[in-house]
Amino acid sequence: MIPSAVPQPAPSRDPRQPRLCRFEIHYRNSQGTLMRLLTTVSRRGLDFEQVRAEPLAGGSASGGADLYRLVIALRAHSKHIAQMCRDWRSIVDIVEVRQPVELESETSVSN
Amino acid sequence: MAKGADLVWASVRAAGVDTVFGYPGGAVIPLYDALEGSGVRHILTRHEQGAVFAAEGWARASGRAGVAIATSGPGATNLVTGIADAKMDSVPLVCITGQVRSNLIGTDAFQEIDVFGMTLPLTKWSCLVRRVEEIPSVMRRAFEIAQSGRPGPVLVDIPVDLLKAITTAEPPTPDQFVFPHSSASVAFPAVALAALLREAKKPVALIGAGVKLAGAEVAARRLLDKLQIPAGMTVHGLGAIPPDAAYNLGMVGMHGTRAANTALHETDLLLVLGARLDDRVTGDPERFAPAARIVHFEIDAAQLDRVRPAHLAIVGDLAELLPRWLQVLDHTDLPDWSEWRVLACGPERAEMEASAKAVPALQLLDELYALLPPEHHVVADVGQHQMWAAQRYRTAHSRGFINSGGLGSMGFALPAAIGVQLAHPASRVLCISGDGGFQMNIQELATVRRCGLPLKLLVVDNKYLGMVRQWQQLFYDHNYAETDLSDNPDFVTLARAYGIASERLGLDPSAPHGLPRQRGDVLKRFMESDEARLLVFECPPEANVFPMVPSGAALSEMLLQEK
Repeated sequence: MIPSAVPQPAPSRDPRQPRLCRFEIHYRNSQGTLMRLLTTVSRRGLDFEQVRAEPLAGGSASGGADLYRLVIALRAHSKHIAQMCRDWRSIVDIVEVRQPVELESETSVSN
Repeated sequence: MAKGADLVWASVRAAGVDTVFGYPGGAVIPLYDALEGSGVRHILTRHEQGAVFAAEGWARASGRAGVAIATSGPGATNLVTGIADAKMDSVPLVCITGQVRSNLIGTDAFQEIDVFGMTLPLTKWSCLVRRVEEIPSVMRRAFEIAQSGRPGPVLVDIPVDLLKAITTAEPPTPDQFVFPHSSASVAFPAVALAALLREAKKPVALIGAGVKLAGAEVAARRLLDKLQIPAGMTVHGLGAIPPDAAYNLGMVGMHGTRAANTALHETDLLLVLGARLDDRVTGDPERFAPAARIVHFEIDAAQLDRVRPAHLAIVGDLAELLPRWLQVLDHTDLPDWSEWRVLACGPERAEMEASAKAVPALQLLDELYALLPPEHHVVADVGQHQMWAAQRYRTAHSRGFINSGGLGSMGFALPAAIGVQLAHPASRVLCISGDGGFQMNIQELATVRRCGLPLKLLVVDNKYLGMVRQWQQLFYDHNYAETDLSDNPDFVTLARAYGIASERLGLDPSAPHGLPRQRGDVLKRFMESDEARLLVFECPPEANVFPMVPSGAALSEMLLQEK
């Protein structure tokens, strides 16, 4: 049952307005996986505020590839957020798509 | 000891694929050098796009992964449209491309292109092979991913030096290409579904490609027989519902039937079975099924809530979900929706008769379809003829109608029909193209001839890019900018140059439907020949496809005829 499992940011003032959100995705660092994650964003014409990819401490997954974490901050409205989370989950070698976090202000991006 | 190329072919055979489609070039010469004795039949097309569409046709008709092969650079880029097409229509496809030598990658070498990067957004998975030993495991993963879950395209890019390299790696065996089927683990929401059904006054079912991809046609029919609610089909769902079923609404969407679109607009409970709900189905998504609760059965969770949020979303394989639902339904009291069903489905039949009188192409298609044997396939290209062909396709052959529905790739039909015919040699394959799309892969007539395929090739020649012209007429004040194809070549002569028997069917304005009275012999000759034949139908230039939901309009705002 999907509805309850769909990551949704905290209730917002206006769902049609883009909000600055932070996304965290864990993935097996196989060929092209990071780029597939990123093109999910770029195909929607969204700009990245922040992108950081790094190994997960102690992370190694079945299948040989190391586990990595991708952290993205960008502005998107709620429909895009739900779509992107679902698209990310459907990519081969994605391990976890965490609940998006709405950031309060620009300064939160760098924290 | 084996070469990398031997491992590729051994993998293809181990995957159960006996026919592949391709076009040689410098970076795949070692692959072709190892072809003989591999047990794989290679079909040489005359363009890489022809190869990938043929592989798609083979896959769509057989239900197994199609394989297309191309060289590096332009060979690889010519595959891209077919890869995108397979993604949109959920077609299992394994593309194998040669790449420049490993030590030249990244140097802008001759015929080097980053096809791996280029196709990342289009493929389910891809791999640039880095060591010859990887080939069996990479190929295994490619076939598994292409065919699992929502099927789709994958790409394996192999540097030419690895195809030539010798390794001690063992060739794969068929048992290594048997993939476990992941079954639905979620609890089936029988209670919630029953509650929704009991509250519904106007339920409607929408049947999409997912029903066929899952092999769940029989279960879907049993479900509809039980529910007895109106049911429409997407263009990829055609054939899933018996045409004479009392609940058949016909095709939904932009050129769907009035009955189907009206029912979708009025329904208060929409059961979506394996359909993505793209804009050609929904019209304006904000005004799609405005009063409906939506129950969405879908194998790919990424498709849920993309257009409209589902009241109840059920992720899984329809081949497992529908039998589970049927078991529960046998013990469930359901309302009687017969009054609603009759109201919703009633107008459909009258509409069919009226439209047939107005458009000669529709009458012609009816007569050609009547000559199809039970074992048949209709492959349509993209444009007006595609929608006419879909509107008139009234059989219970669930994989019988094949077309490029999601990407809408002109040039699809001819090569795809080649693949379909090779997958089903005994089938009567009717390939329907417009004069625009036919010329986009016309070179594949040589492949038809070379393989001796008895394809029936119908070209609906209105000397326009007809669907674009229709939009220009209706929405751009008759400004037919750059859609005039009145300087088309003589297709009859052209086909004969390829060694394919060909004739023309003109119009007779004095005859009913505008078709010549003596056409019976022409149509029989065309359909009953054991060899390839081409029939050019001279379609009225300004014939239009109706009903039509204008782009951005609601389904309830469909146009039934020209104003």
